[in-house]
Amino acid sequence: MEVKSGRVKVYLLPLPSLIFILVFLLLSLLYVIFYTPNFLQTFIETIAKEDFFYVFLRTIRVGLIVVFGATLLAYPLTYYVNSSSSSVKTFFKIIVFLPLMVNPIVRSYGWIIILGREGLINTLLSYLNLTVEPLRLLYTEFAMELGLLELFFPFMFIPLLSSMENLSNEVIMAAKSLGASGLRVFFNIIFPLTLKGYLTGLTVILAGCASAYVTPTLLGGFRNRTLSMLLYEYIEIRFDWGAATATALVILFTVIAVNLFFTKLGDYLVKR
Amino acid sequence: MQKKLLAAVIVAIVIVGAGYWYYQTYLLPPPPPRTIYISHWGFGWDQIKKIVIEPFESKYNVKIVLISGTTSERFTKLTTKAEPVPDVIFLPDYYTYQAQQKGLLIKLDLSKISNYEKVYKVLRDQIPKSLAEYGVPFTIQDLALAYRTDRHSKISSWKDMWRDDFKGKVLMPTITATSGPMALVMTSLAYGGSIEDVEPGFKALEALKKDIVTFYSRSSDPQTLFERGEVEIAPVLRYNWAPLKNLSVPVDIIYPVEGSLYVLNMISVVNGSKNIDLAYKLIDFWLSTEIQKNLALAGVDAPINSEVSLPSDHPFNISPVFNNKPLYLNPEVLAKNLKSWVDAWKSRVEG
Amino acid sequence: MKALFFLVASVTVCLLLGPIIMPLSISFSSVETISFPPKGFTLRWFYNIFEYETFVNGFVSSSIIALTASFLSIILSLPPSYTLYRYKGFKIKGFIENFFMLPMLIPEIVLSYLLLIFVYHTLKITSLFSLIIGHTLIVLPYAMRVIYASISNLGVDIEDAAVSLGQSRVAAFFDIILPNIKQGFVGGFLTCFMVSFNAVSISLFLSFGESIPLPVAMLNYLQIRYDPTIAAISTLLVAFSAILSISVERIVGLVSWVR
Repeated sequence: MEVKSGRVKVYLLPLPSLIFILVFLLLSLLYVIFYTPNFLQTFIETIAKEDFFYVFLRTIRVGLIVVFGATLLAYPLTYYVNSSSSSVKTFFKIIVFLPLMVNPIVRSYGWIIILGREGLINTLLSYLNLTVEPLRLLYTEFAMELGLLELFFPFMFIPLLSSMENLSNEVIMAAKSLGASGLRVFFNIIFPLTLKGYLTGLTVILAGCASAYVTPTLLGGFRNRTLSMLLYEYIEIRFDWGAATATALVILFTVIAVNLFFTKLGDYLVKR
Repeated sequence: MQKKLLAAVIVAIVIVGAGYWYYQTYLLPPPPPRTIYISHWGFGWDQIKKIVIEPFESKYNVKIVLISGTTSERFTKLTTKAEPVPDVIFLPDYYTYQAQQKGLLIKLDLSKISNYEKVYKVLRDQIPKSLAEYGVPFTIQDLALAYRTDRHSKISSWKDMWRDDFKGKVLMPTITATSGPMALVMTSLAYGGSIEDVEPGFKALEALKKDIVTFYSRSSDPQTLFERGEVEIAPVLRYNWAPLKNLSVPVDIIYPVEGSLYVLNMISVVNGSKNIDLAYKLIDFWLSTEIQKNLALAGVDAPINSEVSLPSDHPFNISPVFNNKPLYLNPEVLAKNLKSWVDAWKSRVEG
Repeated sequence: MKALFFLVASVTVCLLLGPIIMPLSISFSSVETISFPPKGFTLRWFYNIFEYETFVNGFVSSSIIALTASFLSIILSLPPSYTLYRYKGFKIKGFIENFFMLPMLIPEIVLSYLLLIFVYHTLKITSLFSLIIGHTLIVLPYAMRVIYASISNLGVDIEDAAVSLGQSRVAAFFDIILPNIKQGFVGGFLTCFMVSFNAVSISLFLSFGESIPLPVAMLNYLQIRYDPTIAAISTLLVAFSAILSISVERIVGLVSWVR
């Protein structure tokens, strides 16, 4: 293909956009690191603190639990939707898509109405005489996990569904006709062939849980801090810039590590 | 095609320009000639506006702009010189001390504030010398315990928070709220420690951990959480009294037998302010008997002006404080220990 | 089996729609607290929204920021997309594609912090422009994906034909390429708008002074009161989002821009 460039060198075109990203993303990252005096020492001090450890552990734990919940719901749902009529498919695509158009503050507020001591669940339970006293559901890790599950479920559903769609029905039929039980079909056929989509969803969820701020704050409170809440705390409450930078970097590293790990894992497993 | 290009560019400029113009005109009105920026919690600002701000604005022909937020948010902004920089800042005394240590405040000539003499002498005299000329107290924040009377029998001691019937229903302040360190010190005092030795306090709080629903950081959290039934007992400060007594659920507030721990909230003038003269006038105005009385009656702040007299059952009548073992929390001690207490609290109590 | 699927499906639907329907349901309740079930009927929370300057200003601020960020990100996406589309054998093509996805890799809250220190505190750029820069960065990958996909789908033949007939490349770009990617353009713009409008963390960190975006105004209000005013705002926002997304659906296929 002949490359005839006029007065404008075409390959220079992306330059402004690249510079934009370079300056405001990468340069700012480097700047923030070098802006902190004694960076290495501050970094080590921050992550060595006891409460940092608890918060980090909690963030990972919450992420894994949300992934677990999403897996439990997403697999049956996508399988069912995939083998349904296209109007059902569209219906579910819309339902799943809808929450993404809504602000996380609104969604957390909705959860507060549902989980509060005077909220939907407690009112229902006491009406049915199942409880004597309202249950303490808000400001718990559970409430936070529910909120995060609702927030990130679409990001598991959509990639998994497209993987499912690529799955040839015949393969499943063939396996079944050869006598494989439902469970075997799942583990030996469905799971490996939809792995790429699943891992995409899993990565997004884990990264999201580490960086979501509004939902954990409103539903979990100070008792159940996650890494992003800690970052906010260092900036706006404890005014400790060095620690904030350290925390931000830990979040960044975690997200990148999760991304890399599961991408490589996916590639490796697919080869087998 | 060149025409189309031109048209596209013009449309784009018009859209962005229109948006920017709208923003500048309607969202960012240029401030009038003299504007004073006040950094305040924002709590009760509707009443404060009516009682103090608007009369002051019309009397001196100035515009007052509020910068609101929690103590720590505003303190951080002060230290980083975030725009807009306030002229006058309202802080609890131990933050005023920290600001003064960092050279962020102006040394005040107290003789220019005629109403300073009217501040309760016993309170004035307790302020450490280093702090007295950098902040003027305008109200007292004493710590008390609020609880649901319909669900629990009477409480009298700080230790009642550890009672069985309050399990899973306790609200605590976070360490960076004004009442946070006060709650820690109070707990230490109740469990055999002192203001310097807070280890007994930490141990007691660690034992209470699982029964603490959450930690509040904003001024209005206690009211909203009591109203929603999420909590049934909490340490609260004076400014929570009026709202708490106005809820749809019955709440009573008592002074624990261990004593009434208090801090003073102060007004200071920020270094670099170009409106120092107006700042002095504002402080004097805020301390005047009439304003202090109206602020108290409106449920905003307890009066620190000794000439104000309130009915004995009024939530802001602070004479009971003087009668119930008042303990001033020395801001110098508090400011010195704060960082280590924050670190320890975050690991041991908030986990 | 069918029963199991039905169960999972209903649980999921409740999970996803519940938190959105709840605020809708209590936005008309005459009870001041956020308890359920709602009692009575009143529109006073909706009136309340307009009594608070901050909400209306917040909506306008958020809209302006979203519009500007979407516009900028699309403008920034066009030249690279064109280059990548023309140079099939470009060596660093893959690198550039991934480079534009970089903002997605960085968590929003980390990005907000970086910009706070670098852009706001150091470069002393005003709050409004810092917000615009931040939102543009966040939205850029979405814009890039849509624009690049649209341009790629065109195929080089059209442009080659125009050039061989005498048009200059620049003219061909505006005459031929742009009109043909109108769909992607609009779809991308609306997507960027929604993403920016709902981006909370970055607005939280970078808004100072008087023009605070709507999400921050809502959070500030939540600190003072939990009454259904927020529910009323939620109702209006959901309606607003619904209208916008129906527009997206009409112009571009629903899930076509999602990976």
